[in-house]
Amino acid sequence: MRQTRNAKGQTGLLFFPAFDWAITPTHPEREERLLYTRDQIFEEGVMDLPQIKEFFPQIAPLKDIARVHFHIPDIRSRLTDAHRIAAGSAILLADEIIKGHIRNGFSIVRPPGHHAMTVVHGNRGFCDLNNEAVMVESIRKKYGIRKVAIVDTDVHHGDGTQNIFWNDPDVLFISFHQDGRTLYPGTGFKNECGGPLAWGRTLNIPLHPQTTDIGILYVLENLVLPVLEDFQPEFVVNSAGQDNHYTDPLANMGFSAQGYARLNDLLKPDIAVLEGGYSIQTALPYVNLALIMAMAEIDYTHLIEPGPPAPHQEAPENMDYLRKLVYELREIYAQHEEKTANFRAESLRLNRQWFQQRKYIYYDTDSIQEQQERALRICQCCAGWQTFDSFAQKDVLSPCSIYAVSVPLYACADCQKEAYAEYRRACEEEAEHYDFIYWQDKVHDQYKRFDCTKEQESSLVEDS
Amino acid sequence: MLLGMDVGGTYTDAALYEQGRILKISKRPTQQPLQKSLLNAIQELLGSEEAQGKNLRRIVISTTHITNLLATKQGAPTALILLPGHSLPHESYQISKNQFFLDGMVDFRGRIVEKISKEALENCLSWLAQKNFSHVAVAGKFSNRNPALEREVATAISNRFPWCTVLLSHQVSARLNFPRRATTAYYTAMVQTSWKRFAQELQTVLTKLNIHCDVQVLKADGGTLPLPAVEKMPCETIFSGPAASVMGALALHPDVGNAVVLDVGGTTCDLALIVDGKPLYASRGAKIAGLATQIDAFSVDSIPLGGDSSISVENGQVVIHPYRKGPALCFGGNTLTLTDVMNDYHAWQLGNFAASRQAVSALADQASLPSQELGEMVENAAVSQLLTQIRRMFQQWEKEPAYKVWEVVHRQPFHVQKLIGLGAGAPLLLPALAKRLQVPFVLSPYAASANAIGAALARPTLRVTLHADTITQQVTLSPPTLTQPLPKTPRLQLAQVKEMALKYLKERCQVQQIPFKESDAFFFLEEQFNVLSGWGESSGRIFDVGVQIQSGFIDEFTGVIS
Repeated sequence: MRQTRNAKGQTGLLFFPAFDWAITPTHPEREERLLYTRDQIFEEGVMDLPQIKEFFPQIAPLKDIARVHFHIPDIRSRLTDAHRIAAGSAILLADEIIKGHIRNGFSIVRPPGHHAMTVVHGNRGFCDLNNEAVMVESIRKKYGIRKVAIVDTDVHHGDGTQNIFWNDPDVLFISFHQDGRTLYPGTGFKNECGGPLAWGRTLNIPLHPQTTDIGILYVLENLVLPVLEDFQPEFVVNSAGQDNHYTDPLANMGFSAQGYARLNDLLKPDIAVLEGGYSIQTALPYVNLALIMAMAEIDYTHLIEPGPPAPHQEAPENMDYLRKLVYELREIYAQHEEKTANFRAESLRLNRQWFQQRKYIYYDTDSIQEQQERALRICQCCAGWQTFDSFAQKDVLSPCSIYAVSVPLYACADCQKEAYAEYRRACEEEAEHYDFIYWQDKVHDQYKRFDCTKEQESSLVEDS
Repeated sequence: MLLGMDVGGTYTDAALYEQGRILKISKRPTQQPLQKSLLNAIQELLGSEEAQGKNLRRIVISTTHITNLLATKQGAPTALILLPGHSLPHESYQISKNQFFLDGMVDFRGRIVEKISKEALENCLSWLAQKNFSHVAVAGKFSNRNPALEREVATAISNRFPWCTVLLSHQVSARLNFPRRATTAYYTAMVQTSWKRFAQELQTVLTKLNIHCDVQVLKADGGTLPLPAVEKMPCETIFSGPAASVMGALALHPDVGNAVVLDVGGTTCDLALIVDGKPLYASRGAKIAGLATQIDAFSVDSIPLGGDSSISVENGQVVIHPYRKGPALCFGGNTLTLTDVMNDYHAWQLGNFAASRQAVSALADQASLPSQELGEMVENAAVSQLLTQIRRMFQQWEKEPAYKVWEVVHRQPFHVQKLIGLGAGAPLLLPALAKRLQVPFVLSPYAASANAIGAALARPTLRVTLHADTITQQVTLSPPTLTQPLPKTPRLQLAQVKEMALKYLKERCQVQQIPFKESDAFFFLEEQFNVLSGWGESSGRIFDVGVQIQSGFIDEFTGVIS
């Protein structure tokens, strides 16, 4: 069993409803979203409970953001203060947990983040900044933590988080969600299981619509928990969407507040970070309370959301489907060593140095279309460095091309050297093809941008 | 002429003020019953030469009567009936030994989502009959959004037990926080009868003295309440002593900006923050006997350090004990105190100076230290204790939760500009503390009676909140909680809602005979939310507005001439 750093500590809560921020006044991601959650947890007196400690939010440092994303054209023009506060809040709680000041924590924040990918041209799925990814990379950098597990319990596939850690074998990303054939973003199938050197470290669990507590808890107990037990992460994150609830207006699942409490009770994440959930009256107040109670080890058996009762029977054919799925995904997870070793050996034999993937990405909120080519340098001793070649446009008159070079946190010396040479080469030889060229060096915590039009390079400096 | 009085645990302070002058002050040990202390102090002041021929316009009393009752658990036996809905386990509500849980549930929009079952209500009534309570408090979750279930319980109890006094939590407060509302209602039900008796006796004393002026009682938020109005909310009078001191500090030192008030007594030091000239409130409400309430109070931290703190040296380390064995040696006591050490160290020649010097020298010899060094060590230790506490208070203030982007982006660290010393012990430590913090300090000649002066000059405070929901078409005004249909106004605007709240404040002022000036009203809460249904059709709005007359001074206050 995984050991909690401070088993007797309190549960940290950071409630940041951003009552003065919305995407647009009538968007689901609006001021009202956490209003009834506020009413519920304040009326319950949750913040006064001896098990709970409340925190004041913080603004995420720019470097923590640049370590994860390439915001086009830059962080300040792409993000509002609200985004940086949501990510900063997750970082603050994670810091407190790792220092042992609190046992675990729940960051009840808006806006959400799990659809934000490495390259950010605009808002996708209500997200511009991946709160969990920024938090994970921040604590890995600060505390020398290497292995982290992120379990995405939002009803939508956590495609942003998957994209960010796609080639990272030290981050186990597990997402369960309503089947992509029936719901945004239309991805998250079981064959998406990580880059060639991180194969089996991304696990996708597409669930049929109407799946209930029984089905989801079956997956948790028979897949997620055993896999975590084997992976031995140093830190576990619940990317906590509350939209699997049976009353959610944007999805079609059958999960209840009790089910959510049980899930967190079993998963025992170090931190939960709020993602989606748009049934703001019938689900969010009760599901958020359920999560708080489970994390603070308060008896939640009394907790029932009012209204029509939750479905409590799983269709037999769905159970058959889940059994098969769990079996297959456990196989995929178990093959990590073998598959990545084979890939490396094969690459060596064929003298293959690069692995390329092409992707078309649609930004639903901002209606931007992006074409991206992502290349991984196949390294024999580390996770390898990457490049991103991306072209995006909102319409034909607003095209934008960028090129980015990224060095992972645990890159070997050769990769570091090679990657920097590539960045320099691109600035000198390729400037005419791009608007901006980016440099992301997680090892030395250095982030640069070359403005190809002005032929000017600038380093990221923290704002005072 | 204005009279202020603070009947504290140890001393009763009183002061007479007129046109910028403190005419007379009095300090006597508090006697039991408290009415006796009141009588003596009033007689002393009004009988004085300075008061002759002058008209007494107002008396403000700060009393520990309710604080004592609750701390010593001497209130009337009271039953507490709770309707907590289906969330936290019942064990998490440990407010009273006599609690009964009922079903029935209201949600955050004030909708009744579960009715009280006949069976449960019947069980509750049998329990009350068996326990023979005559005081009952009823508290329901979200009763502030819809008091119907609480009222239903009250009706059932009154029908069965007409002699029972029933207090409903929504009458006490309309703010969110069910456990605190329940606690506040419970405490209020416990002490209401006793306060009534106290108020009657006080009235008898005043009549006997032929005093017929305005009589006000000081609250924990530094404001006053007319004596008859206290009957409904006696718990508001708790912790009025520290509030009196803070108001006194502001009266003696107006325009302080950001300051720390240190009230150094015999055994404790009370610390409070002034932010931008206004006393800082405890964001979480006052705690009584370990339970949080919804009573507004200044944020006052107490540490066990005072002029009579006993001093010793143990293993070469200076120890300032958190207790008092008696007065300082220089004032006729028989143990070495902080006052004696400071008297010797700074050669202040206080009282019997030789007694201080002799004892310090004996202790220094025993510790093999020069006297001067011992004095320095004690001063440093005391100052460090204060600094630690002050830094903790700054940090607490900086780390208050925030729920809006604006609040996070504009949060500033606390920069102290001045120290204000109060109480007899303040001169002992203030200069050294100010030096360490590198800020100036002020010490008024009236510092020892600041509490009485603060009470004399404090103005009434009143706070009302409003919650309006254009879909349920209900508006709740409080206190006392009044739920009424929302007038049909298409596209109700925040400005109109604010107007409604202001009107209610004005009405409440009239009822409580508080002079109302619109310029004194301050909106401390303004929230509006678009309520959407389905995909983006705006179907209505929810508003939360709060307006108050903040703590401050009455019009007669024209400063204090030293």
